[in-house]
Amino acid sequence: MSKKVQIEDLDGNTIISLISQGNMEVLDQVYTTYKPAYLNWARQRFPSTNQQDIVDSWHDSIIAFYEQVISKKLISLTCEIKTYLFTIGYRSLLKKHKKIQKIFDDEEIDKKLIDASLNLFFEEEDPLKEQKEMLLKEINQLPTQSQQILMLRFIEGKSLKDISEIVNYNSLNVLSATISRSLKLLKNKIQNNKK
Amino acid sequence: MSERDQEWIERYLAGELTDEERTILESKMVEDAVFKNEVEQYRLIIESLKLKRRNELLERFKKKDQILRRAIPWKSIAATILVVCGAIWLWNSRNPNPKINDTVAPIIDSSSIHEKEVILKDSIINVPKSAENVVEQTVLAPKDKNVERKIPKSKEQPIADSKVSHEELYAMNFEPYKDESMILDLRGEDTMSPYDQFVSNYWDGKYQVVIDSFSNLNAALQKNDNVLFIKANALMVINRIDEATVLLERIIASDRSRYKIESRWNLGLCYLKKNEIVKAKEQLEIVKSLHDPNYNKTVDKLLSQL
Repeated sequence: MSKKVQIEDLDGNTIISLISQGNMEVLDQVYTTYKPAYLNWARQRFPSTNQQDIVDSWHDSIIAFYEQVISKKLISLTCEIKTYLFTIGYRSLLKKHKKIQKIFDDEEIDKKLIDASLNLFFEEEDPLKEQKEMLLKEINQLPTQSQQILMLRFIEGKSLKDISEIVNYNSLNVLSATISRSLKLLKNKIQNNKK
Repeated sequence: MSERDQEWIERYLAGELTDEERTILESKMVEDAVFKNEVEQYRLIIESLKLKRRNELLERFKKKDQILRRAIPWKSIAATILVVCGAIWLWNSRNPNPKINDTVAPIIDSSSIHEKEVILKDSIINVPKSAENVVEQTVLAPKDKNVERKIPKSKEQPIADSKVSHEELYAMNFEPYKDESMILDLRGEDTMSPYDQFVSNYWDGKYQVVIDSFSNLNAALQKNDNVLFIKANALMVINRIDEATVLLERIIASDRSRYKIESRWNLGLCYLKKNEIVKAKEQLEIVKSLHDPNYNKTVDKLLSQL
């Protein structure tokens, strides 16, 4: 049996590499290892914030981190992973509590840059929210394997060849056709919904 | 839409198009509104897939939390505490021994209170052996690193006034200043900006790195008095007092920093360290005159020791 990975023994870049390869156990460990320290840290900085909001901000942080890694936008870290995660969580809390105004006390800080960075992970209002939720229901009604293939292809960024190995498809053409068919089906749902 | 268009859109969304292919596709989107609409619809599907993944992750984390909660045997812990408390109560009620009372309820024991008071007034006098542990716990209790540290250090460290040198007074009163407002300025994109790193290193206590990385900040930040205050603190930690003094004098002169009182307090300490007592007193008197509740007692105490 292989030895269980301990993230305390790994540097941030190795953690990123393992997660980008689909190692969810490492993501779980990142989540649980740093969570107590984050909750403690956030509680001190936002004492009036309720516990659930702080936990939610930790979820936001881990999810944003995961999405950055999976989309290959984050391939290496120049700081400790803990610092990176805490920074994202902190921003999430700032968003929630609109304490952003405090940052603008200092006129020499580039306001636009701050604004841009804060919008990086957490959008204010999503105008397409309703449509996305409708589509999510349709996606959940697709055959389980089709859902898995779409996720592997468009979320985890796997190549057709990699996916064929994961889901045991012998033919790349059949796999490609499955993807196209699923996408067309979902696209039709969008169009029908518009009508 | 042709098969080829379909294939290109799929590869575009999967991030597999070459630069050249992507340029062609994006040009087509500009020219052909119908095609653009097709791509937008596919994008919406991908966004919904992301939403699906987020929901899956949230479920995963919730399950993880439930497992962790179950793993902590709260009932057993509560039962153990009850049994221990019961045993202590039973023991006390059957053996009214003062030594036991010292441990369980020292406040009720008036002799114990007396000993503590004597020791805290002057740590140099002979300490009765029975109270040594109390003193040790009082003086050496670790401070919470994360708590806002606006309260100057000496508040928590009773000292014997007459036997302390200026150098020692400095050491007992200086602590690099940290509070929430410093990390409110955090910013960055996928990776941390030089400023993020600068502040982060300061928080992590990597003071030499803070000094070394100051030159990586942009020109505006290098002139910012709040940033300079952080640098001055780092310089003080690594004992570059002359440089810290120059910075703090400049910060006070420009009067634009949010750390005005803190700068004066630190400048007073720098002068103290350099044995320039008149100047030190001058700064500390100004701090005193500002009646900041975080400094009132400490500055009084330090002035009385000079």
